Amino acid sequence: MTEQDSNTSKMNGEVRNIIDISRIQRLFNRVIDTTKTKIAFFTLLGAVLILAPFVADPYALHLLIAIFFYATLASSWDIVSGYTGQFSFAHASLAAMGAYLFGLIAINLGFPVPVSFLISIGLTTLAGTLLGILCLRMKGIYLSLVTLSFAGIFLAVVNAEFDLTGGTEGLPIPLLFGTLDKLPYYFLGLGILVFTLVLKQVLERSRWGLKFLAVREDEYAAEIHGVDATREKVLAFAISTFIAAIAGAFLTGYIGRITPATMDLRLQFRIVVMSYVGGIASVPGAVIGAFLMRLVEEYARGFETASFIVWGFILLGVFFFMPNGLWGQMKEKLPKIWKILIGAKSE
Amino acid sequence: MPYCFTFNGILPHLFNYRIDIIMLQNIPQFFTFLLNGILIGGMYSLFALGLAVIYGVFRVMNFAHGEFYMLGGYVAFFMWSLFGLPNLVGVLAAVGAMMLLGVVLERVFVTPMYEKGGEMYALIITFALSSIMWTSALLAFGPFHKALPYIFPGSVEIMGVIVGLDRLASFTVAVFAVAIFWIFIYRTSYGKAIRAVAHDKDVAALMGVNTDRIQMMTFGLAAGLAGAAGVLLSTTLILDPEIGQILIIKAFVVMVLGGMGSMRGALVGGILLGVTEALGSAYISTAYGNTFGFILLIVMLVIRPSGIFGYEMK
Repeated sequence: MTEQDSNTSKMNGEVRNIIDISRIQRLFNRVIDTTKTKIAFFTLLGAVLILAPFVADPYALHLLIAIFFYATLASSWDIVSGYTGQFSFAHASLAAMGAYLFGLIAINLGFPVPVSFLISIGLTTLAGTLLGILCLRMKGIYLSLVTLSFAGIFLAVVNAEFDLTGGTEGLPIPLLFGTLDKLPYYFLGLGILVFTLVLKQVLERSRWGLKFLAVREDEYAAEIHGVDATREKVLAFAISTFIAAIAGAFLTGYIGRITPATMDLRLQFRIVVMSYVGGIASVPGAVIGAFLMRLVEEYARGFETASFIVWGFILLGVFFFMPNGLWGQMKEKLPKIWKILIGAKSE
Repeated sequence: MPYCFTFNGILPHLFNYRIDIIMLQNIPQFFTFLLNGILIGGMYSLFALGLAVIYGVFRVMNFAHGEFYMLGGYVAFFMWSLFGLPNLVGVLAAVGAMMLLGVVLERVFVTPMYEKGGEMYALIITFALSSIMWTSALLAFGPFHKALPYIFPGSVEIMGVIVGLDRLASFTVAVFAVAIFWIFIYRTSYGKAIRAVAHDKDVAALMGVNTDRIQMMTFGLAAGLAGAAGVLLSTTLILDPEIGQILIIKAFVVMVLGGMGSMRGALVGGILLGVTEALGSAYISTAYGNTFGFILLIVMLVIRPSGIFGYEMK
């Protein structure tokens, strides 16, 4: 090759590199709009979250870990209910299933902790996907009833097989990191939450998320436009269960014991309230809801039963007056602040 | 070998007995279980009948129905424990009180919300009301079970089939209540109006039916039925503030089995559920007693989602 040709090929090589980088950049920009304000905000938030465990007291850390759990679980519920409109009652039970399987596999089969973790999540995701397939032809209340039946059956199995699952006393679960020190759990929880949020953000901004929303709004119209509603619904269940299982196994790996009362329908009710209060079908909604609700619950320590009345009223109020939840309201009422957080350049 | 590898090792309580041996060896016992299932199922039917009527008129699954059951039971309990009134009087008191409560709730919450946003709103409203009611009952009455006195203690044995007299009496009262309700729905003009509103509310209004009053009446009557079921079934089942949650799920199963909104469906579905639960608990596994309803529900939804009688408005 002549010198000119090699120069050209070198130049072509550079151009090719530039195009590759910008493709990634383009994908990134499509999913997350980046502005300087937003980068600054998230860097600050990130710094606070990362430094927190070194300066905060253990109880605050415990609270934060719990909030991570609730936010992850509520986000997972949101994927299947907020985005595809399949109002599921099974999520608390799916998380519990992840937890119980984790404990059972680790104890009875003796696999090491990380392997048990992964296996239990795999099995639970399979169960959730099957549930989704079962619910395919059902709509509205029927779907909710089937998911409720799943929850009921799971609870009954756990209570009935008390030699295996420890019944009401519960099952001891091996700690994920073998220590009682909160630090690794905090970062794992934070990592799981960040992963879930990134997943939701990709979901929301991509064609994928659009398909989910289309299925929610009008299944037939979506099918006409080439969206395979069946696939999307089952996919939603699969992803949602995957995250719920991780959340459940994580929390019990941190606490060390699971009983049927830990993750029962009351938890399901609470994550529904969290999602609705924060904003369904949105990325930060579940986090906001989980954060606020958990804090309020801290103050309502002695009044747990009575607090359910309050949650009932709050759910009612949100449903009637703020169906988009707090995040949606911020979008409407305080667009400037919302724009900063979203980093939207073109709205 | 690890403990959990064999099937009976994984779920050891699932198959307690061998069905064929037990069923054939002891036929009177089979009929005992069957009869018990029918008796309890009859009361499920009474409970679900109200739910079906509400669904027919309002197109809404009344989540708070279980709480009417629970409160009816408590009314009868207090009638007995405070005033010493027998259970039958307690039934009347419960029905009256629940009818009143039903009318009030309907006026204050259901219709206004229904007008605001349709069925979804009314559904969420009943769900929230249900949470509020059972939580309040939990705070007011405490979490422990209460026991209602038997109407007629003792049991009777006919041809080897043992039946508790109390259950028989409760079932008879339930049949009586259903019969009265049935006559009301099919033979009176108010009943006809209710059926008309269930069929098509706007046309009924055009025909001169006072839909407001009919809605009020329907909710009240259905609540009354639930209260009656509450008293009658509480002598057999426990009575605590959370029993409404369990019952409402059973009622949903009954509704799906029989067909949404179908009165006949509610009756048949209730008996079907009662029998399934009784036979399942007796022959397959006691520990899994509650799950047989769920399994039946799932099977029904896969085979015939519209239920036995299909979706019909009476």
